[in-house]
Amino acid sequence: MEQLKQELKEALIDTLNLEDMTPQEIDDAAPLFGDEGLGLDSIDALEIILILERNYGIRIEKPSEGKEIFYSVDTLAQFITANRTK
Amino acid sequence: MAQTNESEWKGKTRGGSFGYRFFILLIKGLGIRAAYGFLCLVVVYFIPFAPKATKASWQYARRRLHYNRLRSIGFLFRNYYRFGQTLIDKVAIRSGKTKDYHFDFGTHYDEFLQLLNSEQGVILIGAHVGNWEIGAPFFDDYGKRMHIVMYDAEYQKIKEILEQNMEGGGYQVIPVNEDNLTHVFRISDALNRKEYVCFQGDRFTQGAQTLQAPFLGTNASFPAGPYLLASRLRVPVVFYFALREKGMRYSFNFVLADAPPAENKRGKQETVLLTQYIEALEAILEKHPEQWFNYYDFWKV
Repeated sequence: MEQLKQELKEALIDTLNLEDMTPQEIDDAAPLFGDEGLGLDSIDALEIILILERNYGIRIEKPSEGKEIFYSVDTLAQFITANRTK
Repeated sequence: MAQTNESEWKGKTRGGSFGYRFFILLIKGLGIRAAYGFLCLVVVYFIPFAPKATKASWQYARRRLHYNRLRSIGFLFRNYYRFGQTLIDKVAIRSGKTKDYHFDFGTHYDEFLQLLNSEQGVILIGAHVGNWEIGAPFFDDYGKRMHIVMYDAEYQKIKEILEQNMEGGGYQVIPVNEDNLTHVFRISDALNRKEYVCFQGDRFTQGAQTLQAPFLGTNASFPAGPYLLASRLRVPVVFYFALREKGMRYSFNFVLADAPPAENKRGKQETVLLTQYIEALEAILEKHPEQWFNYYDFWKV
């Protein structure tokens, strides 16, 4: 799980142009979206959808559950562990 | 590239629901022509009593179209009249008066249908010109697989009107609300299911990411969302405009966008797409300058 979180943070930094951040600076439990935490927006959410599809072979089947899954690095890692196909 | 900007549309459109109800009664009772006749009076009222919209329309005529003052006055009437006419036509067609109109599907209609049938998701990008909704009844079964992305404030307004007075257009609405990300998941889900997602490529609300590009000779801001989405998801993109022609006629215009080259870096692909959109939009406005219905200072960057 720790390795997966590290991998995820690296993918986020790389894809979302957060080059001035290091994986250590991203708190596992902090909200990714909204004013607190990382403050990502809806275009960033789309990039994360693409990371899930490309790297882990996962599609979000229920749009209504997306917000909970995308809450933090922790919730994303849990979802990936439970659903990954690669 | 992307930045927050002040010249955004305020999220609301003028013309209370009383006005809509009145016109619906007029069309049903006395017919479309009577409604057009009454519209002339409404236009005369709107020019002085909707000063912000009148100013925007005037500046568009003077600065973008380079009309002289006299021609610009005539333009104000034509611009408002056409706008009202598209609203009347929308109501008339929704209440079953399709036979009163002629529709021309343009040169790229077959290619467009091929794309819709090609077992992949498609993104359509329109604009606040002409009357895009007028096409909805013709898309029948395709309509059920269309998802229209619109700002929440806009959706709340038409939702009530749709429910009270008319049948729905057959399509589904995805309201955009930045506070919850549901729209992103719904858009991605729809395209995964090989359905169609429609955006308006010319308006944004406060705080939205924008792209700047020259449009009718001067830099303007466009919403970054539709172009970023389309270039990241790598699905075919069609620009779609429905224009009111003379003599109870509408023309549908489909422009199939070229896919941006894959090796282009992020930050370039959406610009390639926006450039194509602006080209298509400028070609439409050259023929129909009076069907530009963005009543705010569009060029304030």
